[in-house]
Amino acid sequence: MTSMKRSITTTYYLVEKEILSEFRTRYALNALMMFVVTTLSIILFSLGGETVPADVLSGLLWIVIFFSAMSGLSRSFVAEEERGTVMTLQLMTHSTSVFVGKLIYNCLLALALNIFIGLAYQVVVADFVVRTQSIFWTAIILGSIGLASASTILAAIIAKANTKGTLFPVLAFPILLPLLLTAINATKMAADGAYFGESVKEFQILVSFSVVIITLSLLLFEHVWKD
Amino acid sequence: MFSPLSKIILSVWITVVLILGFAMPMVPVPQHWYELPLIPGLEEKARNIIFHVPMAWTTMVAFAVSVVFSIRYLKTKNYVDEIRTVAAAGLGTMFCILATLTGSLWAKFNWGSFWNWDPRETSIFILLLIYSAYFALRSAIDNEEKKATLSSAYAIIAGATTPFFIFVMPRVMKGLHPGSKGDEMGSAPVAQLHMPPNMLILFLASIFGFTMFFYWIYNLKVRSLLLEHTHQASRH
Amino acid sequence: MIMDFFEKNQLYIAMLVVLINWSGILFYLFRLDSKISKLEKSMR
Repeated sequence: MTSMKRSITTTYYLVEKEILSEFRTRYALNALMMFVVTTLSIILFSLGGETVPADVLSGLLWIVIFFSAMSGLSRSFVAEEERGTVMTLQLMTHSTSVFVGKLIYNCLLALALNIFIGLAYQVVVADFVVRTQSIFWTAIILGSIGLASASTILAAIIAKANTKGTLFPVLAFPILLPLLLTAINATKMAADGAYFGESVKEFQILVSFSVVIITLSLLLFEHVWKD
Repeated sequence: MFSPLSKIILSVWITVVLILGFAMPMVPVPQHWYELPLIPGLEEKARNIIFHVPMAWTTMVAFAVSVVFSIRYLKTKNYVDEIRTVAAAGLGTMFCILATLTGSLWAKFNWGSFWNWDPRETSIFILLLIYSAYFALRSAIDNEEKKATLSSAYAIIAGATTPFFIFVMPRVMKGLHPGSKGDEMGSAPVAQLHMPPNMLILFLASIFGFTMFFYWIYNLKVRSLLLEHTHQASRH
Repeated sequence: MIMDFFEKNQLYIAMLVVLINWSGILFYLFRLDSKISKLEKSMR
């Protein structure tokens, strides 16, 4: 029981450490916000006042979310390797605490980022009218958690590879595709004004995706983390 | 592992399947055991089921084999399991490419275009992406043990996401393959087979033959990789 | 032209499919063969 309690406190401190070091530099958040603004303006330029069907617009939204998540979440373990703090963490903490800490931080980052994207996208893209806001935001929240959970274990894998940045989207895309397709489908339904109950199946898929990935990550992380 | 006799039997088996696949005549109303039904719209192209589907099936078998040995590798850290994973993944890539090429050729003549983003076409495409990501990851790591551990972890994660496609794809896109959503013969996650018995036997014989054939080449590949490993170990 | 030919002679589509499979398997075997040859050379 005490070891359980201790690992929970360790996890808590790790999350706190991540957030503090983030807010000290605000590197990731600022860079990501700029990334989102840039991507959104490119989309607006390329649409150029044309009327685009909601199908295409919901796809575009998740393209923005995917690539900003790829640039934001891929760094979580790379930073640790660069700063040389891996050894300290390996010696001082249990690997599960490290993983859960990173996962919670990534979830918070992805949620903040994607809620910002969701708001900005609805404001900026005039043709994209969400008739059922509840479906839209549930998809954003569940999608963020799924993105964060898959990204965390992949970031741990990628941190040990030589080509850290470029490989991440390559590894992540086939794994995230079921999540993205489901989220795009739910967003389409939100734009079409479906009832919340109609998209329950989508949410079930999103939730079970996150559950499967997180459970597997917990089992695999020890192998990936300890070399 | 493979006795000379079983190799001969397997060779004859596949040869007979190939010959029957071409030679059994297709008639509108089959009367004899050797006659296959001529389905309008499919016609002689229906023979492709004997030659194309086993490729996709073998891809799946190869993928399952590499996932299983990835799990075993993480448990045992035995290089033989790692070698088996790599061998199955390499062969799986080959069969995956073959399934894609033969499938898109058949699609051109049956559905009018080489690629339609039908659920099963999308799935095979994603499998191709997974295989290339797996090998890209492997080439990015120098340390042999690290390479084996990390790529095994990736293969397991990729393997865990594949069942989602069975549930996701039919909801997202329309299907052209039999057994897809909206098929009047009934939809199922795995294609339901509506074939006369003689064609079904030929089809299953082809699936079995090519699975065994996969096992044979896989065995060759594993043996050569093992030789390479012992050779490198003796040099250092 | 070619398309018309295949539309009329659909059996050749099946032959093309088998040909693709065959060339793929041959390609794989050739590569495996050359890898083993290289291995043999370095072992000597």
